[in-house]
Amino acid sequence: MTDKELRNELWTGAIPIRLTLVDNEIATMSPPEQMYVMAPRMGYLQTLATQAYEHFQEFLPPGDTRFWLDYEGLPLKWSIPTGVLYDLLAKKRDLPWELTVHFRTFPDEVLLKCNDSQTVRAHFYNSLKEAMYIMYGSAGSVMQLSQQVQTQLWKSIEDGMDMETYDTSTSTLPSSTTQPNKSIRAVPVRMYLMGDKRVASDDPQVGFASMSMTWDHIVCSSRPVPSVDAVNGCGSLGNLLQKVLPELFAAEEKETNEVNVSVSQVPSSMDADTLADAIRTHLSVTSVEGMVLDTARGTASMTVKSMHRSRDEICQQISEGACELELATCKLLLESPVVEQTLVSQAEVWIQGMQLPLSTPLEWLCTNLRHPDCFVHLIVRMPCRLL
Amino acid sequence: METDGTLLGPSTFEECCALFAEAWENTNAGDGSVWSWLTPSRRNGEEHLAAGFLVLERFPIFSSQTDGANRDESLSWEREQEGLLEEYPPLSSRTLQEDSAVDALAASAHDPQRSLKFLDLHIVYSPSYRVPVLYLRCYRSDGKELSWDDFDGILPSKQEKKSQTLETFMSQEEHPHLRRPWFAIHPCQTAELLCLMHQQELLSTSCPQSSYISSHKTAVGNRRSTLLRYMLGWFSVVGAAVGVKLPLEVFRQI
Repeated sequence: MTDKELRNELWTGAIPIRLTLVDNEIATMSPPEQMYVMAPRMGYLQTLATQAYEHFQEFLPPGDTRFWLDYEGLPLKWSIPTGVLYDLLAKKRDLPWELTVHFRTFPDEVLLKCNDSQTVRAHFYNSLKEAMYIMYGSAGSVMQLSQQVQTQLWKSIEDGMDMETYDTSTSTLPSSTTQPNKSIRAVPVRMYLMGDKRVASDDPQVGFASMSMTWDHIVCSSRPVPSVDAVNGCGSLGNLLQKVLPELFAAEEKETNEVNVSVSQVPSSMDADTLADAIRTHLSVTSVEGMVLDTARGTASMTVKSMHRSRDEICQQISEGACELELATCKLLLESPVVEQTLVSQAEVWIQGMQLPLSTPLEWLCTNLRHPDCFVHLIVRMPCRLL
Repeated sequence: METDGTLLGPSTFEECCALFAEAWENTNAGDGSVWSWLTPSRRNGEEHLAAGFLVLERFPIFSSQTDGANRDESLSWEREQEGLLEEYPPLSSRTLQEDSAVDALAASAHDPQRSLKFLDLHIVYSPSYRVPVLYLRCYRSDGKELSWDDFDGILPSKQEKKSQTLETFMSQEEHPHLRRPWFAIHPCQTAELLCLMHQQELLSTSCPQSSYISSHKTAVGNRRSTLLRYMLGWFSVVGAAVGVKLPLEVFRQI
């Protein structure tokens, strides 16, 4: 699948939802029929308010209307995109997603106030500004959009994910593909960590309410993540998770003293053996194996064995040795992590409804899997004991 | 514009808060009110937040009829953006009878009664913007919290020229440490604003921009005054948005 096809998939992805009116708001003899709707993954549930009200209004008791939804007793935060809520909260990918709709008794102590779609729009723009600031050091490009363009942009999301209109409206932003490629300072990530008490139970009936789970069990935060790391080189999904939540990874590290190394700018006069000797001497490694030398391109790759067993020590050794290498024009590059990262059992990492390899570069995630607000929404579900 | 020169890290933020609290206390800026530093327990996944935040509770504000004088005194964002610090009338010691204290706050014309309200102010670090952010809640003397609509009657009036509504600089957000809905002043403009205010200083010193705030090469005294100047500059802008003005005295602490 090409990046373009992937982007199309994201913009057209939707979740089938079944809405049921909460019992205590049914004022008629016979209950209303449930409402079925396809909610776009990258959209916001609050945009269903009007449609839902039209469907259920004749059954409601008199009073002021403030639309909100709950899943298994947990009020849904309307500022979080639909797909993210589903990936975070839903049990074992059950579809249609069963939600309860309310029009009264808005839980002000849990949910931010939301009188109308203007509030959702304001929050979306705050997120977009934050993401721009993290990526480029300024939110000015968003603030400079005319009112008309801002409305157009928001409408492209509110009215059912119109990718073309979105792209037109954002064409002046530095993140747009129409703009000259500006490198980003950091990747905007919104992380959702949930210690799921339900994991321990086999009973499919067990829900948030019965396990007394609230939003206090879910850690939501925004953070800028450097896309390039001093130690690891190109930052990956695994690197980020390792830093934030080392408990997520299997306790025993695979001990190995092997590292893959690649060299560039090798002089054409040099042969494989000479290169291997030079590396063995100057990097103080115990052996050099599997050397592949491309004389024409001046590149070589090989596996070296070190006396050290810790990744940090090996990196240190190689950086020190590389400075002493007589082949001044050669550049040494450390490839592939020494320790293979595997998640602990029952832990899941989701982005845009997908579980990706931990080696996925963060910058790729930023360019290809971000939401319209330019954030990468990253979900981690794990057994409760790890949080 | 490069804003590296005014951006904080989480530990420098803690230092800034301590200096700010000290300066506030020394000048009796709030008539005996004191800022305290709270360190809530951090959960996994929150290591990028600052270790704590600064709290000021039950700061009294008054609302009263506006007249021409009051309206002129309310700060406009535009003037702040030009980097000028207003000459505030020093706050006299605040009692219920003192009318001069009321001058610090403009209120909407439709509220003729003088009503006592309180602000809880929290200064919280933002990892995304790398600046302090002001969180607040406002409540009456009986403890009832003010809603969004009530705020319009309490806070300084809208900008004269651009008629910016409350939404453009304030919104309801989730408090990062307390995880409950609170009101917050948007940080998106703060960072760039602070850069403007300190631009003069950046040009006149020889410190490289990127290490200006956290440079350990500057003398201790310089560092202290730099950080304090940063915090006071920041607070003079965001505090004014909610009607809390710093007395001129506090700037002499630098």
